[in-house]
Amino acid sequence: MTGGRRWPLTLIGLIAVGLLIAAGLQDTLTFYRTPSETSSVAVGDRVRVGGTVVPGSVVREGDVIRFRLTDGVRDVVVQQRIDIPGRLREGQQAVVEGVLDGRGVLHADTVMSKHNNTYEPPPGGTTYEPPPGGNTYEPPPGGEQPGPGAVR
Amino acid sequence: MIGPAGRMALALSLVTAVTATLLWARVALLRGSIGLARTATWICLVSTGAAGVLLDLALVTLDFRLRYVADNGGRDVPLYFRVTSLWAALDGSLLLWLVIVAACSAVVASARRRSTVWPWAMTVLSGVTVFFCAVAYFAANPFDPVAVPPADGPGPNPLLREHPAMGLHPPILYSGYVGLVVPFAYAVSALIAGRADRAAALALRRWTLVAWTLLTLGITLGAWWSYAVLGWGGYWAWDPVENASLLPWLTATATLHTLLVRRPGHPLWTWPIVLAAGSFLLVLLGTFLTRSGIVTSVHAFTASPLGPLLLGFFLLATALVGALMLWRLPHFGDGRRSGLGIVSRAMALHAQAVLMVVVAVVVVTGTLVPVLLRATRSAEVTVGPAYFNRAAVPVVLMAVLLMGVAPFLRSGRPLRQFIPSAIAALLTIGAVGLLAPPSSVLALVTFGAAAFVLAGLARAAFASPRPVRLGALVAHAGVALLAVGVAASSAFAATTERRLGVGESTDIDGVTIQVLAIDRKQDATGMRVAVRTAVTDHAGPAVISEPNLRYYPGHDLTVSIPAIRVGLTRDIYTTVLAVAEDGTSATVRLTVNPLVGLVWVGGFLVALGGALSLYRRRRVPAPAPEPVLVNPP
Amino acid sequence: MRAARRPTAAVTAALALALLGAGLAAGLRDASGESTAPGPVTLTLDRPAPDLVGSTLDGSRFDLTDYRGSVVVINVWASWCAPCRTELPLLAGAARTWSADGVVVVGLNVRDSAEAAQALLDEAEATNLITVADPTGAVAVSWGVRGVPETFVIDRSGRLRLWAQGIIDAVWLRERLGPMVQP
Repeated sequence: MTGGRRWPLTLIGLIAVGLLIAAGLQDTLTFYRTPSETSSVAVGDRVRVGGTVVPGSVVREGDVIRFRLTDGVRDVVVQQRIDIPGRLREGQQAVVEGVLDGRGVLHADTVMSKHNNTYEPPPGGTTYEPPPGGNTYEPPPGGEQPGPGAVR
Repeated sequence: MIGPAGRMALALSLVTAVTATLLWARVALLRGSIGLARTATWICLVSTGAAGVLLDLALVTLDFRLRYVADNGGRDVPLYFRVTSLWAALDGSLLLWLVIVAACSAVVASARRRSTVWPWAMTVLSGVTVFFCAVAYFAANPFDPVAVPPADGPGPNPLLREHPAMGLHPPILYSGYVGLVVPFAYAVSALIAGRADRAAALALRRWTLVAWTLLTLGITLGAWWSYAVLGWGGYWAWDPVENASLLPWLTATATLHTLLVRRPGHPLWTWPIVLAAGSFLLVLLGTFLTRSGIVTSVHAFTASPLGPLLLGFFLLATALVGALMLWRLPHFGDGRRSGLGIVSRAMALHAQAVLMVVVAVVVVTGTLVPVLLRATRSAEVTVGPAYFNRAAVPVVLMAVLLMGVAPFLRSGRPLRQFIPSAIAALLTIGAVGLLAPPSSVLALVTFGAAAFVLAGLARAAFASPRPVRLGALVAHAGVALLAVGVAASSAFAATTERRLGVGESTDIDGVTIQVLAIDRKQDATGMRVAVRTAVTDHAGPAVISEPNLRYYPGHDLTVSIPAIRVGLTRDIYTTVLAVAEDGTSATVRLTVNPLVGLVWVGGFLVALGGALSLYRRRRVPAPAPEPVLVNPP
Repeated sequence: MRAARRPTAAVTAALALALLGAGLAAGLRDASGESTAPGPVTLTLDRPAPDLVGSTLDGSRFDLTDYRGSVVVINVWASWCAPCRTELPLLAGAARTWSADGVVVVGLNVRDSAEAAQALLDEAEATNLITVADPTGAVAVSWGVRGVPETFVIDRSGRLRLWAQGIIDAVWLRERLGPMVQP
């Protein structure tokens, strides 16, 4: 090997590749946040939020679907143009990706789930606590009327 | 019955693999009996093959006493997909891995023209087989029984039983992916011995070519499967699992290019050794990433106890190979006799290899950044396609341009040779830019680069003597077409999403879609909603197109099966995103994908090029002329 | 020169590999810590089961204490609950498979109309399940149910052993219920 003459070239090459990667990573990372952490996210930044879909919060208005995601501490309102089939279940884990607006609404374009149907829980997320007195049955909204409601 | 038999077959594989490793090491060190070692390798193949057949038999006959069948079998699954369930989940796919390694070992063990390092290569191959036998037997044994056998199982993942490509894509991809173990074995054996002869170089080239061809075919089939089944309209998402298959492809491509620097049968030198060894290390890294649950991906399997094992093996292999390289690489030359000319064929081949490695570095970084950042607990991030498009695509474009230059570097006066190609490129850029300006400059440059390559190849094809081998010509044309397909389908795709009631219609780019009916059907496997639509392309006749939404209760999963009208110049791709509860309206996505077919055509041409090179390589061992060094103009 | 460089190269390479390994191992640990086991949140208990007395959909009387000696699976469901629809065929299958082993599957149909409940049972081919009607949700409240679906398992001695909140699946039945059925 004619190492003596070649190493400056190698070094320049390595620096170039490093710069290429650093430039590529600029603004292309999407951070994962819990609903509580979304308050620290700048408006307009792309973010991925995971949490539980609050039962009863899913509202469909035309092509727009709106719901709340919670980590048990704070909720974040998610608004999305299209309902991806089967991905959004009340009371289940969901991971959405999108951009926050000034009013704290997350405009999502993707709802994710894994192949095997086990959703990613939020890091440090909710742990289910059994009801203390065992007397907290929530009837479905609409009182006596059976209808879609407190579905886990 | 099948369970104990399968466990015994796997145990026998493990024992014979260990025996084979010891026997081959004895052959390498003490010149022991080759016949004995070869017999052990063959018994190992037969028993792993038997394990594979038994597991498939259990899946077909629905022996729910086995955990793997209880998790992946189902009475409603058609025979074809029962067979393919062998590789539909973690344990079965690792068994397939094992069968392929064992098969490669057996074929190499029967080699007629043997290198002096061949016994070492067999030792390495047997050692790798031992590890995967141990994994299959101890950590991911698909023949483990369940306490209480269920009456029926959920069947394989619904996405894996929607397309016949499921029978081809995984085995082909795996064969190529795992087949890289043979070049690895030869590279490592050369390092162990500190020398490598002609036969080792030929074997390394032939096996790299075989594995690379299969890998190319597998990746292309995977992209096509993703496009036809996943319903999101794309074919490549820079998903960690896709990246895992791409990484060794890139380094194997680099290996093939560096091997062309010397005439066939020149003893091995530094570059191919490093690249061939590195390719399989990337295979091991990819296996770890996709089989441990460390990355989130649509293809990844859930967290499993395999993670530490696979990571340990990857690190051990890397450390061993690294140490061998530090010790032995200085013994090997760099494959040339005198200095490289700046404009020479050898230089172009090396540059191409470097570019492939740079792309691999970019891709591996993007894949590992989320994992490493999570490890330092600083942040939970994902790296999206934007990173890869920004960092990898320009390097790929450089590689494509270099590809257009390369055919002419063997003959003299290169600069003048490029003038027709350059004119073709500029004309293409001008024409596309004026008639249909794409949204990104990168796409425009890609069209130009592809025209540059294709013009050069066309001239090369009719030149006499032909400066490029037929295989390389076809493969390079395939890459150029692939680039055009990728650029066109990403720059010119038009998409619209609308909620449509029965009778309503929407249109984009001259394509109109009208919802005719929304049918709900209940069948054995679950609910199905078929949205019957009439698709009209410009003023042509209306064609019925029926995208589906299928619900699989066994997995609580809804799958949107697209309806694709394949056209010569563009595909019309319709998917159902949602259906209103009352069944009166459906949300439909209509996408027009121009030239997307070129992606598959290009991919298949690349694989065909590999196969052609393989064929010619065997028939014509005539030495190619030494690379002509060309003075810089 | 080469002799001087090689130890440095070796040390650098070893360090780089060790760092990569440590990073991947740490990432792996986090990955496995974060992923939930598939299936519902399951509490393991050991306390006497509350009373469950009521009338079934077909009008006969049901008392849980009559089933001492059997493993009783109580599934709380309603026809308006989408996940329950996927659970019922599974439970009906389990009831058929394990009836010889002394497993009884009981549905507790809460806040539902008898017609809708019966229709879903027919659709899901789950008519073999004993279904106790709880139109006001009073029984569910006394059991501490928070939503649907939830599933309780009572052992042969009449003690409440498992409480699953959320959809149960075949894996859950096999791995959680299976061991309790074994004598």
